[in-house]
Amino acid sequence: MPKIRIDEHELEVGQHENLIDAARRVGVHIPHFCYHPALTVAGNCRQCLVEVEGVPKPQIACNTPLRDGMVVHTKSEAIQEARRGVLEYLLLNHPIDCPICDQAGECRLQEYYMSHGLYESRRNLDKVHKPKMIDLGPLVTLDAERCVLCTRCVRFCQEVAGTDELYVKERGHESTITTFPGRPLENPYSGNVVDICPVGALLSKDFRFKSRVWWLKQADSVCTSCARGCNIRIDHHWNQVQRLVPRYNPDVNQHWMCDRGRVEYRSINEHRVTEAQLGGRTTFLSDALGHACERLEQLDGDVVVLLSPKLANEDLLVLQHLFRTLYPVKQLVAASLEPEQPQDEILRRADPHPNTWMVRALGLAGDVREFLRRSGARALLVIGDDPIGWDPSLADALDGYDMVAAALTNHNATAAAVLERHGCLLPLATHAEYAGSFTNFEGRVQRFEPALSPYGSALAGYELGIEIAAMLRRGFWPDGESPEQVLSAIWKQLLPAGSDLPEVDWENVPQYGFVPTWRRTARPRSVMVGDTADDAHSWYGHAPKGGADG
Amino acid sequence: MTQRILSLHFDNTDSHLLATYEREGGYRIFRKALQMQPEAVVEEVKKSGLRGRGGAGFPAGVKWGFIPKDTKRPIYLCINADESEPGTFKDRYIMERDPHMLLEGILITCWAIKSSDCYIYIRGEYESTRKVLQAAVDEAYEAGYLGADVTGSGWRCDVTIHKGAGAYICGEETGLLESLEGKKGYPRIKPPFPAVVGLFQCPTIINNVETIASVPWILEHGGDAYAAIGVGKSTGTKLFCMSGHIQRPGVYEAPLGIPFREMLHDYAGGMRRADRPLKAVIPGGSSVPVLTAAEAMEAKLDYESLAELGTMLGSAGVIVIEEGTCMVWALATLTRFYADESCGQCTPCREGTGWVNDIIWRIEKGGATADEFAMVQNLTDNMTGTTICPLADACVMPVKSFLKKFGHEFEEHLQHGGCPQTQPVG
Repeated sequence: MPKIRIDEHELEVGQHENLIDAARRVGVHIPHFCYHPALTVAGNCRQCLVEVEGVPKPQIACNTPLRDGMVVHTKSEAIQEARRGVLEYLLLNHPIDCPICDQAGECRLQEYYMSHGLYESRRNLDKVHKPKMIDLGPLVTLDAERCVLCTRCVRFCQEVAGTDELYVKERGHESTITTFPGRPLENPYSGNVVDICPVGALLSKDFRFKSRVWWLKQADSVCTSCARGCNIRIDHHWNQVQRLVPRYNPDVNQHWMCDRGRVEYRSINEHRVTEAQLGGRTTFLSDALGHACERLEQLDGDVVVLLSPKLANEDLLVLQHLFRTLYPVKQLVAASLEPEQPQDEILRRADPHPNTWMVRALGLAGDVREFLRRSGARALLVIGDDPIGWDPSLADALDGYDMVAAALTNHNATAAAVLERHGCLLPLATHAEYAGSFTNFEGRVQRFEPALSPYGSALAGYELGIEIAAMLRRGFWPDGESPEQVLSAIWKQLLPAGSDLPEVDWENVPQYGFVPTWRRTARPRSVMVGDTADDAHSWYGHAPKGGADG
Repeated sequence: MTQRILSLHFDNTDSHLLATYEREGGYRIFRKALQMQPEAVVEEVKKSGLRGRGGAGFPAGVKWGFIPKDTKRPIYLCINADESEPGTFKDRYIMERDPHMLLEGILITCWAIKSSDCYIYIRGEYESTRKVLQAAVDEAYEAGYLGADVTGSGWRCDVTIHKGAGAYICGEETGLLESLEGKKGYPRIKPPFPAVVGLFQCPTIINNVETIASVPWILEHGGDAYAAIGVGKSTGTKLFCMSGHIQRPGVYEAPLGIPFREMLHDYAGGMRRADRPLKAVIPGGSSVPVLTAAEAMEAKLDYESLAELGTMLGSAGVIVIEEGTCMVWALATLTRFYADESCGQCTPCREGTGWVNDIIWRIEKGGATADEFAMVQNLTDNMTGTTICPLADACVMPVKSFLKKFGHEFEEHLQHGGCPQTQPVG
């Protein structure tokens, strides 16, 4: 391992490590625009100049090969001056329209001007004018005047998306990022160019003009738009999600996320079920729950329950415990009719649910249509899923039940069908409103943190389970005062004996998630064999070697 | 008598035809080279001290030695015929008047560097030249000098001519490679250098037309004979492109180290008008620092002597400027060129060339302030040595030297509020 010195720091570096990354490790920020750890080195912004002992001219850090014994200075007078000089050129034809620019607050030009610039403008001529508000594609707009031509976006389209939509036209100071005629920027990852744009040139049409970035509060989360479980950050304000941006995870999504995931937040903000409704009237949650539980008591298990593979691990653990052990129901299935999505080699998975692995591990998979039409039970409880939305013909199946109840996040078709039948509708929190974890398609357990306070009186799936159990007086209360302790206790106390599930120390799930040792590969169980409450025990008692589906 | 190496056949009738070239002993030296070990050919060129004629003056034999010895990839030879440096027009003469000498040089070089594929990247504006060169290549294929079985030796050598689209930056060797690969002419960051990772990611040698055209003579007469011509490390002869206010502009071959005075009077016929003496000389194409008349009259035209004067031989495009020429206007013409030709990749060059050009033109036309004039020095400092390729430096060098040596004219312009002359050039 070569050893180098950066300013006062001595450090060991990897053979092919980039100097900018190595410096970052020891807390030295080398300013840069064009360098991005996941893209090839372009070396064109010239902002990352450093002084290497023994080399007469300043060198760009991004393309300086690391040698053993190399001594790098980043803070010398000459380097500061050189960086200031480059920054002046970068800002020369920049419109400096920060007050109306969405990037303001997270713009590298602003940051570096404060750290390296602080000069009076010497330009007294007209700036070069370029096109503004160029419509590049469905998600991205370009202001060419703000562009510093770092070509990160061009390289992203070439190297990550593999679609080559962007290029630089013209040359010299007329250079402009653009698309080819008739070929808009519409690859499924186009939103990432907005994130990697270091200035306000590429902006998200979705986020533009919505909020100043300094108002945004942030929470680490996991994307729920497919089984990949890309790590994301929820940026929120006024208890509304303003945007979703990818969060680096080397094992899952690198620096990226897909465009579908990016707009997924709309369902968190819009058309939410915020209050309980009973018999066509809005009511207190406790009233609605009390009423529903009374009926459940009367029905004594003649109930079928449909959960969603969008529910978190902890939701599924609590609810399956409730409906299998504490209050055994006739059938318990977690499935959805949501159609598969296009899958590719980059991130997107065909399975549109974030937690299918856990559903399978718990033996909850099933066929929704079969389940709704042939259950033969008197009551139906739907938690989190929207079967009618995906197949409107299923609405008729609801007429076969004496009572329909649903806990839903959004006013969807299923909610409408429940209200039509004067059923019980309960507000359910989305993953943006509580802490929990998902298990992605490769069995990786990843935590998400709460961003918003719950909408109205919405409860998380696991909270709902605990409430129902308490009201049915079959209660259990996982030990713990804080939500974190409760969540930990769920993992410790509710793991079905002999099941496939590993022990997860919820409070200590590492930053990038982890793949625990699943005792048996979770397999799809598409047929409802033995998934009724009575059989559930026996199923866990002597788990078959192969599931019904092989 | 002056030794003629490159322009030996220029005056022959139909010098561009294979028959004429063969009558003069053409391709004989190549046959001799085929009998030699490739390493021996490289050694001979190293011995000659032949330096790259494109401008940088890097020893050709040394460059050839940079190819990794055990490479499994094909090796490419690229001939830089993108002659776009203002004031330079020597390669055109070679390609039009003696294309087969270039092709023989290519064959020898390919043999020496173990390459079987050569690309000639010719500038887009040289359409008539390209036609002549293409005809020569076709003739060579027909005669068996090029193709799958070169002169029955079983060795393959193919030459492809590729036409540029008119960008100055494609004369920069890595910009040329990008353009040849069908991409935008953006110079590449180094390392890696083209000799290791070049065209199509393979080891590549890029040489100027004139460099390669000198190779047959070196092999015929030996490296020592070549090294005996010229002075010191500037060996051999050079084609000088004489242009500007002189009696007989044109391409003249002379040994390196020839005094400028002799080149001006004996070759170029002296100044255009007797009443307008010499004012300044740009000795190596537009990118090099300018010389005053006094400096130029004492100068010798070789790499080292000109370096001592703070300028460069470059491509030996000697631009002669007479008294009465507005130097601000002359510089503005140059900066406009660089601002237009900057590829736009690196920030200091993209923005700096444009800004400097703006200011110089405002000094020429009126409207610039003294502050701005003072600023140019600082702006050019920030452009120097901070870019991927030397285009920014190529713009900075004339600007700095014009300001230093003809600063009083700029000040006159500032005081007068524009050019004092109604006609900028006499």
